[in-house]
Amino acid sequence: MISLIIRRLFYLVIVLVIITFLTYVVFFAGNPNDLAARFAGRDAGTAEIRDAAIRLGLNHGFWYQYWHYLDGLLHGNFGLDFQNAVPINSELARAIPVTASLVLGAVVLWLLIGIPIGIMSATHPRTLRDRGGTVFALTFLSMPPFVLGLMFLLVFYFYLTQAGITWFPAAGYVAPSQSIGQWADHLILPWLSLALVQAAVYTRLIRGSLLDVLGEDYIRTARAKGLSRRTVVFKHGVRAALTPVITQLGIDVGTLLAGAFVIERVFGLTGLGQLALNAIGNDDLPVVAAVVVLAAVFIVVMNTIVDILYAVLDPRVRLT
Amino acid sequence: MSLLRAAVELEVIEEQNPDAKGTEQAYEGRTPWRLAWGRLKKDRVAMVSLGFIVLLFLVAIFAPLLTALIGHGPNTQYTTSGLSLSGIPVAPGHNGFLLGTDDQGRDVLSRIIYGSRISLEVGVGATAVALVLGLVMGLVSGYYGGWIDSILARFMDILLSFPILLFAIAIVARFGPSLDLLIFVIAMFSWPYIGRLVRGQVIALREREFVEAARALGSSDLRIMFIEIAPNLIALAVIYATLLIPINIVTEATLSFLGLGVLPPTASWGNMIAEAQTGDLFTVAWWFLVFPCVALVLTTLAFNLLGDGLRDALDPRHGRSNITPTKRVKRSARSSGREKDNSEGKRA
Amino acid sequence: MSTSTQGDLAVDATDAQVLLEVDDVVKHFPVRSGALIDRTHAQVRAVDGVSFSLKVGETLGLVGESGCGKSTLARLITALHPVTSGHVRFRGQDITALNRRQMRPIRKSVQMVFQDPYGSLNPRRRVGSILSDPFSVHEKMSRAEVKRQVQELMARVGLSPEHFNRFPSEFSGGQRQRIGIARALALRPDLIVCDEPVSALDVSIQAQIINLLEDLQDEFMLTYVFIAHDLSVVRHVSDRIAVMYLGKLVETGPVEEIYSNSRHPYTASLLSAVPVADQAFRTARRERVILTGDVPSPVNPPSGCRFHPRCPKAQAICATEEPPLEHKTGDPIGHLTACHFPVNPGETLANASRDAVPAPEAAVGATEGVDQ
Repeated sequence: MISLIIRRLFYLVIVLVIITFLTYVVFFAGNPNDLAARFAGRDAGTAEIRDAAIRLGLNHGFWYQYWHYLDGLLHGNFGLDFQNAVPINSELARAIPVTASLVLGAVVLWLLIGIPIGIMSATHPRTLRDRGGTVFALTFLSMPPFVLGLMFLLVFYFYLTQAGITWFPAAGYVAPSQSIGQWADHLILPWLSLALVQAAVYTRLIRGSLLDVLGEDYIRTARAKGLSRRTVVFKHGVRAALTPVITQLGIDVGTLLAGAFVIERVFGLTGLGQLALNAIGNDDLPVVAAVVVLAAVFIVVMNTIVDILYAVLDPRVRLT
Repeated sequence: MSLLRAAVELEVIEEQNPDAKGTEQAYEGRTPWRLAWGRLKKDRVAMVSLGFIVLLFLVAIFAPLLTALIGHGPNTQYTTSGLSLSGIPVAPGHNGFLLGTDDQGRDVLSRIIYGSRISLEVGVGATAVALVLGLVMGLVSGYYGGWIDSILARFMDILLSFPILLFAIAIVARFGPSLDLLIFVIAMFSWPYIGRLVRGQVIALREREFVEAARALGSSDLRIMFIEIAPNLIALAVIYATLLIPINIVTEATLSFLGLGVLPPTASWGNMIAEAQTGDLFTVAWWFLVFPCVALVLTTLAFNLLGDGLRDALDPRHGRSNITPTKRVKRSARSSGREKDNSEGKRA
Repeated sequence: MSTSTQGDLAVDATDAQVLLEVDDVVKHFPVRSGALIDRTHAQVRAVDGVSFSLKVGETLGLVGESGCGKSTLARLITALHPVTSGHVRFRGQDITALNRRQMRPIRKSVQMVFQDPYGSLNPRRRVGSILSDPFSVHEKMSRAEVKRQVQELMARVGLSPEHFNRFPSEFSGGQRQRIGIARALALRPDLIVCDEPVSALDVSIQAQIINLLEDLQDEFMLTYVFIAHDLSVVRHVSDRIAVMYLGKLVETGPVEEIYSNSRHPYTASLLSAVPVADQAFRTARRERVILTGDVPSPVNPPSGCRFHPRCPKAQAICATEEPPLEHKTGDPIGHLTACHFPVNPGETLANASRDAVPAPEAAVGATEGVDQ
């Protein structure tokens, strides 16, 4: 167990180093003059470009720059943006709560939708209810979140509003400190667009793993002992069937974050995704790099936590 | 010893003459592919999906011909016949626009037809690259084991734990969007899916006796990898390539939607949706938003259903002939694929 | 120990040409684990010092329970696994020291027939293609010539040559084993190692395959190492028998000698387990000897004689001192036994009193203490 944790943490550090390095290479390696020219803006003269190069530290060698960058990251400092020369940290601080709200709400929602439907499908296989679950899964499985989001926007926002029903507010974000109700109200459609697609994946996952578990000998033994079907399914079956769900959750963190970025664009939420996309439009590489590094670190850390959690839940893993 | 021999003399004759009736007929025609095709043919959902996909390919190939028949080019702006006087797009079925026009008076149907080219080009192209890379890397990693495997397997894990979208954002931010870059990025981040599955399979296959037999004959490593092991990976590759194509198509659409993929005016389903979303015009002219979405969803659905059917047909142990007599144990493309390779990774 | 064995066997092999010499061969598989760097913290001692030699045209029957290392030994002889120590000499040439390229000519002469006729044929390749492998790996031949050779081979092992275009799944188990034999035979080898070639087949088919192997031996002057856990099969084909237990040979000798006058208690117990249909075959000694306990783990084998925890005749010395494989007085030349208290003719093991013996469980406990 300890050995596994050590192994995972070691691996985590290596991956983080690789990620920051790759990001740095993709964004900042290459001809320093080009970079400096990007920073200096479209109409900059040679003197201004040279000035920019010095300010960016581009006149030093590549490894020095990388080390400088890494050092900044370790202190939680992402540097200045090209556009307005303001600290990227403050821009991130504005964007993170939006993305976090979106992601957290979506996770809760998708588990609330996915797990019950999956259990229902597995406990009533080959019935109308199961088929309903299958149809639900297949429908949403093949729907990219942004398509679903746009359809929601069209139907539940525009058409309802045109019909005089204003259940859902316009795009935008309201901080929960201002009004919890407004916060949730603004986010309900984004949450649903993000959650339904994943919930579809999860219904299938849970149905499959629960069906497998319910076919195991120990479940039959529990039934034979005289435990009620309900107890068996919920106390023994679901618990065992949830292990793959937790793993999947760890893997999906990445997909989810990416999905969240797209949903932000659809619903005009000013989260990390919008920040990055706007920065691309403005040729503001450090901001994009900051978002990429932040997201990647988040994903890798979550994966590590899930791996360790998985080992705690499933003793078989510890043997390896 | 002669006793034993005498006792079986009669049967020897029959066994040595396998053309003797009875024993042989039961086995005839049991080639792996024919069996799989037979199973797939019975799967109505998969066959309909296959039909749709074939149709889609034909549409993409003959796009210029089709648009010529329709009479509307994909990028032509029909400002008089395609837009009303107040600039509202023409509704489906009017003025010869079967699926209506978009905000610039272009024929939605023609654009969808041309968009299918991009979707298939990226979906199939990136998948093909991913397939070759995944097969080779998975073969090398699984066959050689040791430190080569440690490095390659870790590398695949790292790539897998990375969302493509994020890196696409990074790369496009640096190099600017283009179709080739798009295929490259998508392939780079989807080959580990295949690579990991192949690796797991190879690790199991290399312990099989037929591989030992090949080594006993003095076959080279390359020969064993590509002549002995690779043919046993085809079924797996076909299934997961079919399931990877829709994922890659969606990735392309998503990137194009975000303005990181195919740039207008070239029609792609993703940028059509993005263009439709920019104004508020789609609230009155829903069709130029909805139809590209429908095309995208139907295509994804067809590939997913076909992949599912292929899995049942090529790998019947995991399908309906399972112990659970479910009519159709249909696990999602993404979930069971990932679930499988994940559990492999955890236990390796 | 090896030298004495070698010497004894050499006497046996004076007049005929020695084809294969296995000299104190050891194979340990490491068991690895660790946090960051894998450490080897245990060894599976699959084969632990085995020696024997084999003359041209001879058949050696190698017998033992599953897990005793006989399949590993087969793979050491065919150089599919590298040895941990010891030597395998083929026509006097040490093949354990050869690299891949130097090994190629030997591969032509040493072939193997595998246990599982389903696993040993590639399910995704046609039979013709599988059988052409030996030719495409080793010979420069035209396609037509290869096809002719393949069809000739198929006919020789009793298959219809027209079926070369079929997949293995279109054949029955017996037919597949014929394909496996044809593949081994293709390059006209001198030695074929048969790793339980019939144990996966129906009893009626077993005899056909064995007859085929015997016919081929006569026709092509083949030498066989024939591995089996079934003593009746081995008796039928072998000239000599070697009995293996937990990675070591415990008894070896001419076939009739082993069957009529087995000296090692393990051999005796294996023989008593062979069912005999005909009463006439029953000898005075045919009383069932039932072995107690399971085969101990080869990771941590018992000290001294490895059979002692299960042996009805075991005494204190058996737990401490390993008996060498040696000639016992009264036995004919070539009959070697590794036992402190060999079974005497007429002795019935089933009645051997275990009361006189220190409790074997305690002995095991003590051994484990020593080993760790």
